[in-house]
Amino acid sequence: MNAEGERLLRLGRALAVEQDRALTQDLSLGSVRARVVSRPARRRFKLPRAMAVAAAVAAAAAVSLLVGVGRQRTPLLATFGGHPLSVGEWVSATEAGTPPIHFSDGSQVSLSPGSRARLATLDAVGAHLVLESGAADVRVVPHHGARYKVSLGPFAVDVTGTRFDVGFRPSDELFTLTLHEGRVVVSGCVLGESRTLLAGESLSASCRGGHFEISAAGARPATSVPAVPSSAPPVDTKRDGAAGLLEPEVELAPRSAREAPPPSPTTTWQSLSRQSRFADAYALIALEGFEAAVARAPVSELALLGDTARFAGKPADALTAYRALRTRAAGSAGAKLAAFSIGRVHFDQQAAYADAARWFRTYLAEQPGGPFAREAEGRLMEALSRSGDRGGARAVAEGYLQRYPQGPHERVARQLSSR
Amino acid sequence: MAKKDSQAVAELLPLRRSQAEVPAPESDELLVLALRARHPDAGTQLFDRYAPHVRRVLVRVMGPDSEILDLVHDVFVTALESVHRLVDPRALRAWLTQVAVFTARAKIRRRVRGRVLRLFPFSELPEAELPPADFEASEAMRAVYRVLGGLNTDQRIAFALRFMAGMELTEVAASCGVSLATIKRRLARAQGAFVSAARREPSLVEWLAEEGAAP
Repeated sequence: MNAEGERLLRLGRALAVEQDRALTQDLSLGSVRARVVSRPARRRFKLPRAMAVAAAVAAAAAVSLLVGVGRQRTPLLATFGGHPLSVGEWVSATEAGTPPIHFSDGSQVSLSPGSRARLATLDAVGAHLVLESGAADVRVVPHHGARYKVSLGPFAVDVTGTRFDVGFRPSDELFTLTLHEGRVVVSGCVLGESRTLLAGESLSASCRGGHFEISAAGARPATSVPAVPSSAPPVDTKRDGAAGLLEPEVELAPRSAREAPPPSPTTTWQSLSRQSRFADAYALIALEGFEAAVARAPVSELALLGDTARFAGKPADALTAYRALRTRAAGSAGAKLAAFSIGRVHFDQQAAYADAARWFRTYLAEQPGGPFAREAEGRLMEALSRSGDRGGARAVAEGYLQRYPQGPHERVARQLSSR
Repeated sequence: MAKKDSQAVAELLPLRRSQAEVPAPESDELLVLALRARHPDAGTQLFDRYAPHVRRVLVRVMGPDSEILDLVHDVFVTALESVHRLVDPRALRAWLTQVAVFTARAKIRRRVRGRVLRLFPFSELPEAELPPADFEASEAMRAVYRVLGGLNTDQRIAFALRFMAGMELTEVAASCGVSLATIKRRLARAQGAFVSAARREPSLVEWLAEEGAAP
């Protein structure tokens, strides 16, 4: 081999090492395995030779007729709120009652308030949806060859035809799934390459905690992983010493309106909110006026007011409550955390990325080692990038990679830092 | 399926349902027999044994690509449906490599045809969005596959198998389903075209520079 060939081999070997390193970190092969080994076997039969020739001629004629009409099966169509949804588009559910994503084969995905999802691929047999955070009610209509996939952080759910609720909370990489019908294969992180769930089973898995739990529907998981029965509060409201604060992530247990009992006369907005019934809670608050409620509320309830408005899809009211908290309890843990929540409202619900960046910076400055420092830093780089500050985004990305080399924004950080 | 194959499987690999009881077919020959006999666990065994290899071949040929997993799926579906055509069961690995190469080639050609049909100049086509797993690709990696994207499909594949996958010439020839003489000619042309185009890629200049020569 000549010297040039040797140099090319050296280059190839270096890149192969790089590729192999990336492959060892990628556990997604499990989802393919499930698809391959669960496919129905085709019955093969032989035609007599003359018939085979005739069939080939007929097939060739059919093909020639079809050329120009279309080479492949028609891809499915996806719509959101009556408008076509294109591959790559993000969808946010800002309030209860947000319309589901409809697919032309009858399948649909309903996002819970505060959830964000992106349509990654769409083809003739299904779609790949990336749920960045939040929860969704997924109904896939079974049909021949149906292939749907839902990715949630490091987890993936492969679906052929079934109905389930699924959720993901990036802050602690908590994944939950309740399967109502059919069968799904889940993979990723602590679940390994594939794990099958059957109807009636619930799964909760924590990447950070390094454990998972499968239980029959209705049974409480035995581990300390926060369970997500719809009747339970979605998160620990005493976290970080900020009484009354909902963790600034969306609720994990989706609750359709038909499941929610009507509020009783003694129901308070606080109890509704803690049951994740944010739209109902907000409606009660709105009876007296949101600003009046903020003015009258004790400091300990301001964060809950803000969270309720945020999850009910009322960003302006959420900001009013959070700002009141920062003014009235300046310097408290709750006030510091409110900075992060304000950043999220600007980012998720108002697409005001420069404002979001400013508030994420505020949170990091006030609580550099706070419980959401990693998330705030990840969000900060995204907000800077989206607001056009590439230099700022790159600087934050480099710092993020140093501090959190395995963090949930690691890949985004690598992309930004390499630009 | 031949009757003697069925008998061999029945003797060597009793069809017991419990996964714990089913012995793993250790040799490729036995695995092929199990596949032909539609043993319930044979597909899983095939996938577990060769999926990493198949994916590696596809990644070498395609580079960072959002459809690698779909291609892995297609390779195994093809393999499971056509395993009866495999002449020598001991050559299972080489045969799967060939199936992977042909699957990748069909995909590349479909993409090229798609571009031509849309009547876009290549340079005006928007770059496909890379999935998160590909964010780690270095600039040299991207440059190599950018250059390979400009080569003719057969040359690109031969080059990738030889220099990226590090295959011997005979392996490259077998994987592409051509003679050794053909693959030598193809590689010579691919190498010339690659080096010529790669000199315009700043991240590759140093790799291609002669020892002691300034890049």
